Amino acid sequence: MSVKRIDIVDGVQGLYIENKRFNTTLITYNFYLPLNAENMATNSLLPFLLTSCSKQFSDYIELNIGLLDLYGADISCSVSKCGDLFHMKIGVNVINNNLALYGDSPVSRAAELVSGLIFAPAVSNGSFKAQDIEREKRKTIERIEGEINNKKSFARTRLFEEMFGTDPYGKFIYGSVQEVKEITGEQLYNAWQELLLTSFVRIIVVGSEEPTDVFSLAKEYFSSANRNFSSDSLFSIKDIPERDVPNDITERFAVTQGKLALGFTSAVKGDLKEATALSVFSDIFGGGPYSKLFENVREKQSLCYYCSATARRAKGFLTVQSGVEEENAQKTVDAILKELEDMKNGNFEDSVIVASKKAISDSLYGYYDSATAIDIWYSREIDDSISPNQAADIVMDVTREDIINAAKGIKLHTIYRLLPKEEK
Amino acid sequence: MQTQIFKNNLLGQYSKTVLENGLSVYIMEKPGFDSVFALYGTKYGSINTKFSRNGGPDIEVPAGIAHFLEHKLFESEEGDTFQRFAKTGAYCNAYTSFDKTCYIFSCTKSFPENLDILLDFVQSPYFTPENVAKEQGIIAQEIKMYEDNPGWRVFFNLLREMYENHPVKIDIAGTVDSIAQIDDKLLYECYNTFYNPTNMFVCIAGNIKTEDVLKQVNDGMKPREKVTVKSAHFSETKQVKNHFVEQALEVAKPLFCLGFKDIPEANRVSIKDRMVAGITLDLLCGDCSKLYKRLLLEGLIDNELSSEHFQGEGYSAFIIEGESENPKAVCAEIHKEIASMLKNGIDTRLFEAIKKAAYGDAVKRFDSTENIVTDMQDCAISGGTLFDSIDMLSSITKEDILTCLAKLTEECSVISVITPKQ
Repeated sequence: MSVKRIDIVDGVQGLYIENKRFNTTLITYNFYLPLNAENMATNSLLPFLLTSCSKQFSDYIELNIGLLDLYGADISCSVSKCGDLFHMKIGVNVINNNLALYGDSPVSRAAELVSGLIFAPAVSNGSFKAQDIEREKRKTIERIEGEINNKKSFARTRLFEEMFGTDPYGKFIYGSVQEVKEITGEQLYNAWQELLLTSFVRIIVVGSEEPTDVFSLAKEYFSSANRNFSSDSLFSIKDIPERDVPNDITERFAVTQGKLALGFTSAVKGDLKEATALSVFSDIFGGGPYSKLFENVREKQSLCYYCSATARRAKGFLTVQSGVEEENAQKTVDAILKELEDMKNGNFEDSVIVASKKAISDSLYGYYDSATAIDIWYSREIDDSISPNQAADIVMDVTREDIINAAKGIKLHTIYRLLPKEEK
Repeated sequence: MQTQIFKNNLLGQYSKTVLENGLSVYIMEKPGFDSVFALYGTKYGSINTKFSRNGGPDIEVPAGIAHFLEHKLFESEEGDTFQRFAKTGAYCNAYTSFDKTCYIFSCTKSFPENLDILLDFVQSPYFTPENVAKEQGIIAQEIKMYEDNPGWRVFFNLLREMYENHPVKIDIAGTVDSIAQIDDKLLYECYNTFYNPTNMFVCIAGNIKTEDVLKQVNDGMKPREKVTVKSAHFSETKQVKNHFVEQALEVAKPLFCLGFKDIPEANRVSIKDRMVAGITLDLLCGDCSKLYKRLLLEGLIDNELSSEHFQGEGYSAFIIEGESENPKAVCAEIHKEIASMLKNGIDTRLFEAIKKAAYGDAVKRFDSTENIVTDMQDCAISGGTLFDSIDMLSSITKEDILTCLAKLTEECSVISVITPKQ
């Protein structure tokens, strides 16, 4: 497996990851901008709009027919937070040229198609078309309402809002229904311009042949654009404001099962070895079926339906989520904190360390079997110098002491309780 | 041992071997890959509720046993299977559907050790009155959870109105009442009937050597008495019980399923007809269809419709699902579109593009060991080979599509709707 880096223009980088085991080529454009609460909803709507039509494909149906004709190529788009950066991904997955039935070159055609969506959208007079905007707004509002309906993810969203306060990291990425309704065509146009002119761009290709045309198409566009890129914000991560007394919030909704979401800060500040120890700690604490939360809080004490921990490495914090009956909510919080204390005191078996390290590294060693996994790996962190295999090796080097140290850096920050409304 | 090799010039080859004891073993070597995906399955799912053993009389058992067995097999005298896999770092899981129960794992390291665990735990039932009683509570919770799941309910409400006799209409996990009738003896009886090698299959894809794997599987077989099993046939006509069914649940927007009942000619739909069904549904309501465009423009839907050809032993149905404020109007438009396509013929450009995409989709399946194994399991149950869809595509004509479309009549259709609770 080789990784080739191509400097396209300042702030625009190509990454070709040669992988001969696939019948397909995956091309993704990744854009990174500083997180900003004001334009987050607009930026989150934008990629869905860009991948619904373009100058070449007047509407969604025409675009879909174009994709069918490319042997069923798939267009994908997503938005996420990557540390303190806003990350937008637009990609295409297409069969390799040697598998084409009619001597055509699907990879080149897919590269042209996706760059057309990004660089030549259906815009006129400084705006996108009203009909396209309205359709995508409706879909985004459905996404937001879906989030509200799913109480597990809603509890996490509320925890982030409470935990991060005014830090834009805490804001729900699609914004509120009201914000989406107020987005204008002009704002979207400006967001599109800003994206192309100021963001850090990484174009990732996972395939079996070097797709020179992908990078040359990007070069052609970006070198003529009047880019104003600054790398200042790329690597800095804002600290989470400390709390002496944990924040404890309860909200009531018409639900039968309650939800708990706990946020903890950690002492990890970007050091790879420490971040890896945090991941192993989090897995032993509340990851796999061998974890403390699963075995003790869920199985032995039967306090909840689920109880699991997630390390959020890029920002250096940890969350625990659980589904509980109201009468068990406080007992569950206490039990979670007791397990954390146990870990700080080193009360966990060596066999669990082995199991956890094997499970995490086994999954990392398998990354090269999935083009999507490789793409996510190389796009979720700006530092692309570590491969999944190297990361797996670092996991295997984590010691009991490293895990205890990671545990000792964990501090409860916020408890969010979503509980049933009292019966009237 | 009998081995057959299946080849495709561009996509590689795989083998199917039938061991002396009757077990079918499918293996595809993927030398460039790091991981291995393995599955051990039985042709035993929720629909096998009535059967005869070694030519004896029909036995009828309560619904939900196949799923119950799946849960119980993870427990053995040696302890919990998840813990055994945790020691090797492999990912393991299991699932039960209408016509199969499958146990899977994937790993990059210690493959032989993991395969031993898989072969061992599936062949080591351990049921006691106590552990069965404990599981009844857990599964009852699972059944109740599905009762609140709108996507699940809209589908099973449809099947209930569509089928008179066929057990496909019953939830895979059974009902709280039916699972209360299950005891350890019944579990052993069903286990001994359906978990016998002639009814089972192993499918593996990844960085492995066929010869080594075959030897290990063969060596890992525990002695078993030979059993022949025949599941009962449930007769159905094209007639449905009711054309409309509705239920209120916690949803933001109504969701619906429109189903067209079909009766498979030879008890099971042929591979070619399954492909024709898929293309027909894409042409009718896929995201490139005229119908989809019209529904979007009229504001009847905001998101794509999804469709599937639902089929198995003794059943076949064409099902279209979506969300709409006005499900009945959407269904009326679907019926109208079918009539128009039958009258005006099929759009050639779209037909060819959909076939091209079907080829691409089939090729892409070979990029994932999990997909390869899933497709092998399908071959084990329904027959055919991994390369059939690629080989047969060119033979599908517009006439095939019209013949298929003609089956989608209002008389054999059911609309199931989940409305928001007031």
